[in-house]
Amino acid sequence: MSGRRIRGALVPVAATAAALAAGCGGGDGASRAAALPVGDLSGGSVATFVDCGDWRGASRDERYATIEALRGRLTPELSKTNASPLADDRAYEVFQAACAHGPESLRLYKLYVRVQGFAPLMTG
Amino acid sequence: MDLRGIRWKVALAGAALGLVVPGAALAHLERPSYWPDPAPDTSVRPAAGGRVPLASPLRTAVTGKRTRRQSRSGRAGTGDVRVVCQGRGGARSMRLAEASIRRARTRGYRLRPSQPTTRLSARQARELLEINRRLRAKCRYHSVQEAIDASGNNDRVVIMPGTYTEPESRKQPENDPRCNPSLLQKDASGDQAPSYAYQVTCPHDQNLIYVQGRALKGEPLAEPRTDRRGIPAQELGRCVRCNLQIEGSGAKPEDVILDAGSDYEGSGPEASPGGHAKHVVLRADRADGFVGRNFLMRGAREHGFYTEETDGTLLDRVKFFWNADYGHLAFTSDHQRVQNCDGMGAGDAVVYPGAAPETGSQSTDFYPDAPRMNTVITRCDLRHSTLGFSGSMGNAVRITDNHIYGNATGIASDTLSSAGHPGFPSDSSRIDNNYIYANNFNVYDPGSPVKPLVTVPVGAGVIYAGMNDARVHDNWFFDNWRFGTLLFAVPDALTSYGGPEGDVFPGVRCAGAPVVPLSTSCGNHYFRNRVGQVPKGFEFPEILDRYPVPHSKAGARAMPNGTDFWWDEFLSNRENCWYGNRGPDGTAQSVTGSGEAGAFPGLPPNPLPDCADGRTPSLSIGLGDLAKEAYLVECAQGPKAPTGPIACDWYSAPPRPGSAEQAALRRRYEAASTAFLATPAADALGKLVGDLAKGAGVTP
Repeated sequence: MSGRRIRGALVPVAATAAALAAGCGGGDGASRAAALPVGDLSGGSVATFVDCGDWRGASRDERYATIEALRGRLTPELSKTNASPLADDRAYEVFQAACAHGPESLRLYKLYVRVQGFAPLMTG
Repeated sequence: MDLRGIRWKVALAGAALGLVVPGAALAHLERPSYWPDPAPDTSVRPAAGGRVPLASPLRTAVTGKRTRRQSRSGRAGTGDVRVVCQGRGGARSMRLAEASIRRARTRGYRLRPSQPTTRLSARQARELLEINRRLRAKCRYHSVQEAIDASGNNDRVVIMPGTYTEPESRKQPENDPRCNPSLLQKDASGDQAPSYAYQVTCPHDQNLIYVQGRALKGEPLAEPRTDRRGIPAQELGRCVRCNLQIEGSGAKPEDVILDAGSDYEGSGPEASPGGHAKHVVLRADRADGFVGRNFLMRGAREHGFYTEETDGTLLDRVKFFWNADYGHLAFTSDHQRVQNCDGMGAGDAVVYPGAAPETGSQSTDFYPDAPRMNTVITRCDLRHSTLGFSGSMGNAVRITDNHIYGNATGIASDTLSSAGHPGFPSDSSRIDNNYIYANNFNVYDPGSPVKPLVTVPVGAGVIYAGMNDARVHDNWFFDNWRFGTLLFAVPDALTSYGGPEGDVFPGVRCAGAPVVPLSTSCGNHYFRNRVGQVPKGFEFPEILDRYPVPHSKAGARAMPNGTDFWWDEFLSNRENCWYGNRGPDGTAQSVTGSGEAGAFPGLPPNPLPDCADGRTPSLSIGLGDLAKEAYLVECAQGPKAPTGPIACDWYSAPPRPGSAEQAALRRRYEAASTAFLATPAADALGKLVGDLAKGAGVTP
């Protein structure tokens, strides 16, 4: 398993209503619908292992697909939707910056959680 | 509400370079999870759970004799004994045992790097050797997993010295089609995670060694229950491996290595793996009354030890080395104790008890003996990791009598990761009588041997991100170059969209909460700590310098922290008190804080509210500080290029306290903070904070 990279295959990446509600951006609808999240797939999701190394190697559409997959796992289990106060475009910007300046080992879900937590206080 | 009018302290005057840190949120992803019934399960004898289990002495594995106390107290591991060994007839294990025992007799060993050498007496060495000879004669297994699979309730697995890589487990595929996707469990919105049945059916999909504590029964609930008290009856099977004890028979924990790594660089127990064969070294799932003792867990892609929905676990004399995420992870588990441990090399934390039961200030009649601590971490060295300790929703967890050093941040506990973590908000943490020092490991440096998975400040002792009713007392905090401790709020609206996970029980300290959506960072007390002082006779553990951790020169009696106590003063937070603490010169006057709730801005040493020496907590109330809040928001976004006047600096090594570099940095941040208050961004932030605080009854 070590070092193996699997493209996520189970998470449907069609631009869902929830994603739209969360403020998705980038790419046209067709290319986003075709894109898959990046990172090693484990237990039905890439959320556990996807890191900055994966992010750097992904296309724009794959990155948005990855954000969508993360959002699904990082909203409450009791929530009927995957809507988040963190807009996908904002998450994209944060990951771009963090993965440009931080180590490739950073797990994106851990970063997503804290950015999501402070999203309502982001003014810019 | 325009908060620009709020008097704010140039937070950083005392805050030493202090850009703040929403850092504590660690989080972890798992199936919808429930707290186990805290009462003992009397369907087995002795009853399982209901308390921290007791270990059976090693010698009883060969004598078969139970001591009177053992019989009376109902220890784990009193049933059948299965011995695991290596080499033909156990020859290799016996050679290793002999060598280790001889060395422990003549030269001694360190159970923890901060502690003196332990030597076996001649009698102890003879006895341990004889035990191993008799174990060798009983050895029938070469795989730990095979011995576990053959075991039932109350049984014991004794592992003789050697490194156990479990080749059969390694061969099993990940995302095994026997289980994936058919045994994935969905949450309310359809997102998937492996169910308990998944782990039982495909135990080595993720785990090197798996302990199935309870039988499979029915399906998990179609949607998670809001009340997480009690595992749903429809899927809670009978005990099949409760009160199981697993232990090494060597002189020291490193003699038995449970190893999920590969491609090691270097040699010896602390060698660093270049790859990982499995996510978890040893997973004990719903395994009430589990005892693990005297071995090392190494090289997992995620966690060394992992227990979930378990009532009763004792880990004693264990080590967690180079597990990429957590060394130890306990989730929704009760009656836990980890003692005499040593851990390093974690990309997140060495020890993590998360989503701990509500046995603190929000306890209900589900816990008739509450309030009580549900988890104790004691006599451990937590070192050379991104975090020594962490825990999201770490309710009623006690951290006592440990050495926590050489990490980026020593301890973090938070309410940030609410999704998937029942127990909102986090409360009743207790940190006492620890030595917390030299947590200055810059794991974000490209050359760092530890690969960080999470973002925390370099140079911090303790972070509470959204904690209530904590007690931090009688600790020694020194040589943490950015912060001794940090306390800041995580407003409810920020925890995660959709609100907290599961029910919120009464007893939240913050006024009006949770109706008023500011439920965190109230009622925390810091007292009788020594900050910036070095205990008499203290010496840094030699091992501290094995990795590039900046620290002061040995021998000094004072080793200041950057800022001793930092508080964000979030609007309406109440009853947070600091008293009876003594600074580098032995007096309260030399303790540094980040300001006194709106009064005396910038006056050194910027004391925090002492609440009349702790007697009148109501004297402390947060009046807001926009500069600090702006830092929090900035730092939440992780590493990035400086983007404004208040840039986050916590991914770099902090300057040495007292240095010219530190003084210059403080001046820079003072100016930047002042400038920030005059910006439209401050106006906008003030409005957001003010809106959140509506109804809290606090007027800036």
